Amino acid sequence: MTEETLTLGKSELRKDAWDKVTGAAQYVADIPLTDLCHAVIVRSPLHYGRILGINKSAAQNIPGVLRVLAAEDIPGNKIFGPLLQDQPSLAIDIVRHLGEPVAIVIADNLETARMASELVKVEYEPLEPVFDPGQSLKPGGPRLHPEGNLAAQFDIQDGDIEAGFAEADVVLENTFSVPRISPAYMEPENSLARWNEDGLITVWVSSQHPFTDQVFIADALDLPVEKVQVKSAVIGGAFGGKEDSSLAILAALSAWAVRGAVRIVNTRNESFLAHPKRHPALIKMKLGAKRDGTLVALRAMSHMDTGAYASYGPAVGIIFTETLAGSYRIPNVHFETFVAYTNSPLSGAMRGFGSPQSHFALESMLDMLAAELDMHPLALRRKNMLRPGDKMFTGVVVNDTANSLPICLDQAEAIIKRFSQIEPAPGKTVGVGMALAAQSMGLGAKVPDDSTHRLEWSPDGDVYVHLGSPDMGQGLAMAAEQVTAEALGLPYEVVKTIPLDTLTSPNGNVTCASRMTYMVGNALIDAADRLIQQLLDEAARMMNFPREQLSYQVGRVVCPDGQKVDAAEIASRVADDGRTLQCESTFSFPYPEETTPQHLPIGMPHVIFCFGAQIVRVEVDPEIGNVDVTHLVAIHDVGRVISKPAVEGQIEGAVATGLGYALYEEMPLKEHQQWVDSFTEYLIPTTKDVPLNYEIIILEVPEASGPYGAKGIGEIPLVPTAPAVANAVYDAVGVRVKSLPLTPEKLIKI
Amino acid sequence: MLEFDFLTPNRLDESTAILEETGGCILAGGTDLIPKMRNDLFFAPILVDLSNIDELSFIEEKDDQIVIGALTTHQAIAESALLKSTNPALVTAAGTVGCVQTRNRGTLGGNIANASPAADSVPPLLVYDAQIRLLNKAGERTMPLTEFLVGPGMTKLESGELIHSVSFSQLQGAWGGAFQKLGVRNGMAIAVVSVAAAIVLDASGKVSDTRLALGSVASTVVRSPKAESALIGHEPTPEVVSRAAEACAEDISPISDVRSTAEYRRHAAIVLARRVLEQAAAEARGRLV
Repeated sequence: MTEETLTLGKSELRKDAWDKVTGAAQYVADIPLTDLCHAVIVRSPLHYGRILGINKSAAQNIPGVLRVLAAEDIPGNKIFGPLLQDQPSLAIDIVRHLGEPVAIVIADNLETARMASELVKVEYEPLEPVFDPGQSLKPGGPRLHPEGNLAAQFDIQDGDIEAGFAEADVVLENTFSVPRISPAYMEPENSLARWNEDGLITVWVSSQHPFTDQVFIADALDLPVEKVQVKSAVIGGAFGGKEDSSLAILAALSAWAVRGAVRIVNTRNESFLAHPKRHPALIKMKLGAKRDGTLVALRAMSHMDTGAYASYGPAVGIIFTETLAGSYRIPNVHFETFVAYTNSPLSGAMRGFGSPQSHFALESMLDMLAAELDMHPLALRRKNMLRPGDKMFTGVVVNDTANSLPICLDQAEAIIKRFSQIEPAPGKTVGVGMALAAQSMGLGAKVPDDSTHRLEWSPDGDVYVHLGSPDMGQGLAMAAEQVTAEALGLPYEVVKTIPLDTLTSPNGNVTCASRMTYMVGNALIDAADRLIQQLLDEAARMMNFPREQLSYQVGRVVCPDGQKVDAAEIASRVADDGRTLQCESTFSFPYPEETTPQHLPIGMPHVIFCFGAQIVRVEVDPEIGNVDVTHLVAIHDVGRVISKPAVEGQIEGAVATGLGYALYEEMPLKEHQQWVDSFTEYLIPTTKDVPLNYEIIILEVPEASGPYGAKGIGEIPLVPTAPAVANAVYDAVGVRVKSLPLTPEKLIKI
Repeated sequence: MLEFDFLTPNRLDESTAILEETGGCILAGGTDLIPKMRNDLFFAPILVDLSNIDELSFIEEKDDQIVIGALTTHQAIAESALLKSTNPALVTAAGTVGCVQTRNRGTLGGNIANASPAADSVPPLLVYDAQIRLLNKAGERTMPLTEFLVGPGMTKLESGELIHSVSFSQLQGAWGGAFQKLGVRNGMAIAVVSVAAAIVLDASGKVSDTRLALGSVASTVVRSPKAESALIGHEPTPEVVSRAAEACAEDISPISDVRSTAEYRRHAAIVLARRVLEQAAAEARGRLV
């Protein structure tokens, strides 16, 4: 990209940066309200059990306690769920996971609420839990939900799988397992709600989808949606984990019940136990190839553990299944995916959304195949990578953005060469590994995906972006402001984002699926174009010039006599009439009927993909199995850079998350059948665990349908990291680890 | 609700008087105590905050003894030139405690009193046969640190007593000392296994004195008499060191937990023991005249 831009691709200062570094930013836990009460959730001490009785009286009688609520106190729908209505806001008769909300205690101070919560006596009959998704689907086990333990199932075929394996010269079969991962955001889940005298309930959320919160709250309280106002507070990280609603419903219920203001903030342990994780999965994979490396058949049978409630599990199953063939052309495939209920903590949306799981299996298999064929892993990938015009197994034809794959591989080749020449530290064994990755954008075909945003030209000359989707910290507001500034030819500084309020903001839909810059950018470019037209219409009317003789230039209307009138002047005069110079635009994720295969289940296929590659160099201590990632290069195609620091930030953060997935993170059951539920035991990488030699290469192969050619970057940078590390470790010590994390115990023989 | 009395004496005699009178629990850096209290894993009705007692924060040399005050921070130890030249293993260990914030708050006395088998500063003190000096209102007593540490979270510290300081003799002649720690990750790591070693060579290059201490492999940090006796009187050749390291397996009893397995800890303890012994021996050889 060489053309001159105003702000696009530049390093602007985030407008929330100062507030965040000085601590002035208001997260839900910081918002001051008068007469604020606090609620503490009484949670299930069992993985699975029947509730025989809830005795509230001891807690209720404590001075300072206002109410103790259980499921019976919810006036409306007691059950919610983003995809399947299967999750009680407060447990009804049965508890299905450790930490499930059973009751809620509201008191005039937090300590009293905490103390009283321990006095709520819940009598349980313990039931035998099931934690393994495969086991859960076998007959004879506990039936966790009325419809059975299968939350979703996908069976996708293309070509002729038997014929494919028949023509293969080499067939490999392996089983991979990936663990439960916590999003580990800095700000645990929370919500604050206030019942107002006029019957309106105002709810502050740290959520990726305030408009869904609004619907769920209205539904639970049996109120019209107009009576529920949801406001987006500053969000301290989300990573998919805040797509689910839960505390918003309970906070609103509490405020409604006490006719006051109530805040709930999860502790870290509560966050670990009772909020969605990345799905653990067991993936059996069989790959067939010709002697020359041509991939001919891929079969996968996978079980994903969605835990006690479905959350986004079925949708995660879709993207997992769709990304099983990664960035490669494989003519014959058969994928069966089972998303099962268990008594584990729920798994749902988490950055990568199924793709980290599938890629760990596939990209590991490719290196195993390369070893079997005595081929360089890079050459194997180059031979089979998707090219523009290729038809994927879903029937989707890959567009020009696949042109980034050969560039990724060329760059990777040079980096591998460079890494291979670096001398190992004394006593260490070195290895270099890589992985490619594909990540879908969007919610999938047949899922309505409209995103509406509004621009307003204020009389003081500033342009307000009424963003309909929350910025969860990734910098969506900055991207929206930069796109708007570019489209209107204005300085970045005068474009300002208004925080989301469901009463006044348009509905921009959920912040997720690597598509926010894409959706928001497209909507705002259109809104900006139309805002300019509106401005010219108003100017023509006010100044009595023929409309076609007026033109727009960087915030001003140019009249035929050469006079230039500030847009602010016109906005001001429009305001004098009691009107506002504003324009709303909706962008719908495009699934053109002529190119979108219709034979697949709802949510399939995805039609636009991001691609990237990562190369890592590791040093392994061969005696104790410690892995040190010394070098890492992340190559990612973003279509077009809107905000350079934001793109780099996404990649840096995601790679750290990917390294955690590769080396440290898991949430197993420990002694006494308790889950790992604190950062003392759940280890995430520190700054000392991220490689010192860390390089980001950003490619810009334009996506024709994207704003200025941009596409997503939110998820893909964590996808290739774990398989790249696993491949490098194999290169170093010859041990193929098929289960994450790659702990030292797995690398050495004792 | 966490309700407790919080007392902040300003002098040492005042501290012992208050401890005697109230039987309160000592708060030093708080890096172990506060998280435990927040997580309901520990409670004390009276906390006695010693952070104003500056006279317990010192590192000094006295009659061939190195004395470290109980309130000396890990960071102060990590930066001490005196300790670097006399007990480099302790300096290395102090530098691996938690993160910078933990090292600035956390104290040597607190690390010892917390009595974790994974306490980073303990192995380097054990290999110097450190003595611990305890104070109460009536007087004081001194005992070997090994004797003071009883089990996980358990010590011989009595109600009304505080840790005054830790002392050890400097090694003489051709000596070397080393510490290595293996964590699951590099930053803010809790030891999966930690090992400290000290070796003294006689003029002929044979081991005249040696100590090996291992952390996270038993209910307290332990010395390995088996490894030590395998070295005494021998030249520390790779074979001898290897054999000694393997002998340490008989003196440890690791467990499996979320950080690692017993088998792996046993294996890693032997590898680390060999490495620190080699490092200490190399250093000692460098001091041979």
